[in-house]
Amino acid sequence: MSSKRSAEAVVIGGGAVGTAVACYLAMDGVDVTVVERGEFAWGTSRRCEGHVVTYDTPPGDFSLFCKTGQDLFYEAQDFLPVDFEFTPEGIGLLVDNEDHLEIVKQNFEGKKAEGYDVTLWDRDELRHRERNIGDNVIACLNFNNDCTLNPMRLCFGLAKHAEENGATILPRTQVTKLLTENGRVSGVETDQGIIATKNVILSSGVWTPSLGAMLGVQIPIRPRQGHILVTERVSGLLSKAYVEYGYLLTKHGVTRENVTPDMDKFGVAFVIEPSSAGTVLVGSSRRFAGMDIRPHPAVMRAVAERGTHFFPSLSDMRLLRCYAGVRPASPDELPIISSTHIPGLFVGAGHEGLGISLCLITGKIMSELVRGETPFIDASYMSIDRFGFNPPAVPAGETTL
Amino acid sequence: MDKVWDVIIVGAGPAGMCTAIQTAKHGLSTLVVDRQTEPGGQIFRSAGSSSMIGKLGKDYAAGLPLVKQFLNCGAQFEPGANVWDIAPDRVYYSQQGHSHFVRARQVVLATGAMERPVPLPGWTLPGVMGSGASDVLLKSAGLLPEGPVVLCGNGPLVLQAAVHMHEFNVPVSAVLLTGRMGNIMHAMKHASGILARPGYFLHGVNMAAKTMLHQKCVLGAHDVSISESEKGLQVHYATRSGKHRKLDASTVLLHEGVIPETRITRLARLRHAWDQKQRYWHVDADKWGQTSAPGLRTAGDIATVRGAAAAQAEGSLVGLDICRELGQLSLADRDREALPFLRIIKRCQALQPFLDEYFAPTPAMLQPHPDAIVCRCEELTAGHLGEVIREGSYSPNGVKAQARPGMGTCQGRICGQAVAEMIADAHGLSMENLPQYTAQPPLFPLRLGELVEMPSPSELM
Repeated sequence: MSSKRSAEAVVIGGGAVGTAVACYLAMDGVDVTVVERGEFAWGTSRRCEGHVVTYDTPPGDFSLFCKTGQDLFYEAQDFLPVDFEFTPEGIGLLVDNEDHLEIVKQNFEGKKAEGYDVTLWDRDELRHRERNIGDNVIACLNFNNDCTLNPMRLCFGLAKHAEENGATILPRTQVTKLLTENGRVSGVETDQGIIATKNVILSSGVWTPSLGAMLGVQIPIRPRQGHILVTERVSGLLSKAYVEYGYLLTKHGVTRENVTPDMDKFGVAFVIEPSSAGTVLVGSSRRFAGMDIRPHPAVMRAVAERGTHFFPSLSDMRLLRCYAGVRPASPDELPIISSTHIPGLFVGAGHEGLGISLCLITGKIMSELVRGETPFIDASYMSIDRFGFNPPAVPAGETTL
Repeated sequence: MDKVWDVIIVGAGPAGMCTAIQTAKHGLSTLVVDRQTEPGGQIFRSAGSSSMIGKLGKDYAAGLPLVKQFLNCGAQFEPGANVWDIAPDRVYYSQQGHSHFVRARQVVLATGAMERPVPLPGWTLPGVMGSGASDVLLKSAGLLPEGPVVLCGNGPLVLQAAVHMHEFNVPVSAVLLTGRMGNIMHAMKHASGILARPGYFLHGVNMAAKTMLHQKCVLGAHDVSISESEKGLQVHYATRSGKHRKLDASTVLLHEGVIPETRITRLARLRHAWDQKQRYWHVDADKWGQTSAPGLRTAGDIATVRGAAAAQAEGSLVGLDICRELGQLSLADRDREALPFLRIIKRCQALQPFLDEYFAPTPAMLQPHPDAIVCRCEELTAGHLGEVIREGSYSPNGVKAQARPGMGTCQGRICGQAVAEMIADAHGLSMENLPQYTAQPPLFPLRLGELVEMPSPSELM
């Protein structure tokens, strides 16, 4: 790479968010370069299940935000040059206890009022649809527009599309320094040379804080570990993806009853997805364990145990492998999609478990922010200013290219 | 479950048995687990019970006294135990459908080596197998391959198989030797090493001579592929002068050398190193078997492929150093007892450069033909994977994410090395800069119900 590279904008990070930001910037005519230290989907994006969801937010602004973000996938399905195994079969929220059922019913009414395609199955209906479901599951709230996809192929497709629109893609390139001149961003120094640019977007998930620190910007994102089990190929076990209602509770760190001490300790909640390859992915866990991504048998055991509670016949399936990843968690579980107090420096990170779900909407908003436009949907509550760690950010609309 | 062993050894081959003999002799509580039902490993497979023990030469016969010594040394032996995860103080294994975890102060991985998988068109057909696999069938069950046999490959085990076929009257159509003709010239630069192990060298020369005398040998065979025919199998190959030939066979035995089985050492997240001569990754360990993780050691061919004699000496050294570390031997006593083993290793090391050059893998063999299935679990051809690599994947994990090689039941045991060789070739990268697939637990497919039934190890976190 020549040391005289330049770009209008440089995106750091080749995961779902970074490649989506590059994709929208390139579509909007911006000369963009993506820098990724490994290959595409190298970090958390390759260690997740790949759900595009609206189930895990209570009715309200953020819920509509998620729905808008989801709609973009139905568009992307048509314009992305790669088959990313998009499966819009819906996701069901499983309920295994009466107390939760009441909350879920309220959720159902609220989401319906917001215009979601949701259906509620009672015990019998659920058994009719899923004959392998466990006895203790009493209801299922279906989010019929929720979908699953292959996140590795998605990242690859987004990068490819960006490239077709003139973007430069630099895998195997490590950022060593962020450069400023007269208080604004002036370039990115990498192990392959310098890229002169006036705009840098940090979309590096759990690695974003260390990049922000290069310019003294505090970005409060912590790695939150999760485990996923992969079974051998099976057929007829289940028809679509499911999540237990308790998943929402573990996300908010609420202590649950009716789970084992291990499940509580590791934040284990049931998630299941039949993959397009024929294997079944079973999750999940949620705990702060630093950057550790080595699966642990104790967590694997607890995830498997929770899985057999909802689908007892999982017991006889063979486990092929387990993998773990770290979600980029912000203190209030909302992403950071924001300009910063340093002109030309932007942050699109901290999506925790919603990185795939919200990658496209983040990309679209980020392209608007970088080009000095007002975002098409209110994202002001996702500003980095809400934490109060840094001087006030440059307001949206004043970040001209 | 509360018991903490002094030493747990994974693998009861020559190295693991010798480690156990030392640690048990010096009073350390020792547990040895092995996937097989009997100790012996690959080289001494079933040596304690095989009807073939007197019929396969003195190399194999040497296994019997060793197995006997091991079984009487005081170490506890757990047969049929599949290890599926590992930590410096802990081993998880499955035995008769139940999973256990056992704790130890020192863990030794002595799981040995495997035949280098070299994908070629037709290598997945029934009747095609590794010559090592065939050797194991002979030792454990007295089973001989159905003739006519075509032997194809490079390495001492090809010669050994050719000799066995002759001695047991199995018809051999031809022995296709895929090594480069120039290897001998390079090897002769290290000829002085022969003096260190003249007996071993002469044994090799004897096997080569018998093969040349009794079998039809084709030197410098290449472009090998196998197809099905009415008579069974048909082997296609090109001769050194480029002429294309065909051979009928019922069984094809392939062998392109031996590489360490690194899945378990990668699972343990140990540091590895690349051996450019033999073209394999191996765990980075010192002569006492100490790896990059304190408490976790390796012994034998898992670290460097040098054969049974070296593995026994290495295993003994590892055992002695564990005795020192756990306070059973002084440094001086360890060094004194280590002397004879160090001498054996020195002799093996002296001959190694000669063997490495003579049996150096042929580069053309390592780049699979586009029609060859590389990932057997997911049935992915070299042609397809090559496209994915050229599209923009720069490492085995990168290709795995985009196209699924290594995501099947074997977790890349078979395709890992071949995929890396393809990437290195396509992008002009050196193998040293291509980290292997990440290995994940469980190492073998495990029933979820079995995992759930295992006592929780969470208090150890």
